Amino acid sequence: MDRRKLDHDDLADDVPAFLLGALDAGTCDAVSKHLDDCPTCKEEGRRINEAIGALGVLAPSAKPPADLRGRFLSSLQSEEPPDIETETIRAVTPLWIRLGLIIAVILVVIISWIVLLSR
Amino acid sequence: MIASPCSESTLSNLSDQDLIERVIARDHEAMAALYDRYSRAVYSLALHVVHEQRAAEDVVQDAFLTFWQRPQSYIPERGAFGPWILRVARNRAIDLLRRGSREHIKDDDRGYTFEQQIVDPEPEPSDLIWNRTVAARVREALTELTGPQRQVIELAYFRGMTQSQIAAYLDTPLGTIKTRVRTALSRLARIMAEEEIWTDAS
Repeated sequence: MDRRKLDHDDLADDVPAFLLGALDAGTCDAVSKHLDDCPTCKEEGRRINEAIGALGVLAPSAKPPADLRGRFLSSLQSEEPPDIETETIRAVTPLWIRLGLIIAVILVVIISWIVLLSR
Repeated sequence: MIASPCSESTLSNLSDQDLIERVIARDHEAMAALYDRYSRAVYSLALHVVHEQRAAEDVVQDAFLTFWQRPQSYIPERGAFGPWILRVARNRAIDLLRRGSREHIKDDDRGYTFEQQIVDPEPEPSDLIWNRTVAARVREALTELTGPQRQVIELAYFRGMTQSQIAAYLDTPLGTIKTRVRTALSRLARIMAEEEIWTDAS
C-alpha cells in the first residue's frame, strides 16, 4: 500500500468498496475510522448501505425448509436474556444477607452493652 | 411463549418499526412476525451466496437471532429494517464463503446474472408483494448502470470477491475495477434514495 497519508478524497473513494466488503486489506481500518469521523461520508455511507441491502432482493427466490421457522422460534427461548425470576433471586439474595448482617451487628451491640453494664 | 398462528394475522398489519419496538420489549410474537416478513428474502440471498442449504439456514438463524439478542444494533435513523437485515445476512454469508473452500465458486456456472434478472423479471408466485415491488424497482435502477458496472457489483455482491480478485478474474486493471465499483454503487445509492425504492413491508 502507498505509505503517503490518505486524504479525504482517497478515503471517500474507498467507502463504497469498503461497505460492499470488496476493499482489499490495507486501507480498511483507515476507511472505517474515516466513516466514523466524517459526516459527509457517513451520510453517503448510509445511502450506499441501503442500496447494498436492497440489492439482496435480486437473489433468485428460494423457499426456506419448513422446519426452519420452528427451530428459530424455539431458539428464542434458550437465548432469552436473564428473566425476571433470575433478576428477583439476584436482588433478594443480597437483601437477606444485608438483613442478616444488620441483625448480627445489633445483637453484638446489645450483648456488649449488657456485658459492659453488668461489670 | 411461542407465537401462535392466530397472533400473526393481527401483528402482520403492524409496521416494521412497531414490531421492532415490541421486540425490544421481548415480544416473541413480534419477533415471529418480523421473521415471517423477511425470512424468505434472507434465506434466498444466503442460499445464493453460499450455495448450500445448511449454511444458508445457519445464516438465517444467525441474522435473526443476532437481532433478537441485540435489537438496538438496528438503528432506524440509518435506514429501513429490510435492507439492514439483508445486509447483516449477506455479511455473514460472505464470511462463510470466504472461510470455506472457494472451489464451488470457481465451478460456478455463472448461470445467474443481473443481466438475466433485468430481462427476465418473472417473480415467484409465492413471493411477497413488497419483495416483488422492491425487486422490480432495484432492477429498474440497475438498468441505469453500464453492463461492466453491473458485472463488478455482482461479482463482489454474490461471490464475495474483492476488487483485486475481480481485476484478476476479469483480467482488467485494478484501477478500472475500483472506478467501476465506486461509480456503480454511488449511482445506485443515489437512484435508490431519490426513488425511495425501499417500501416498508407492512
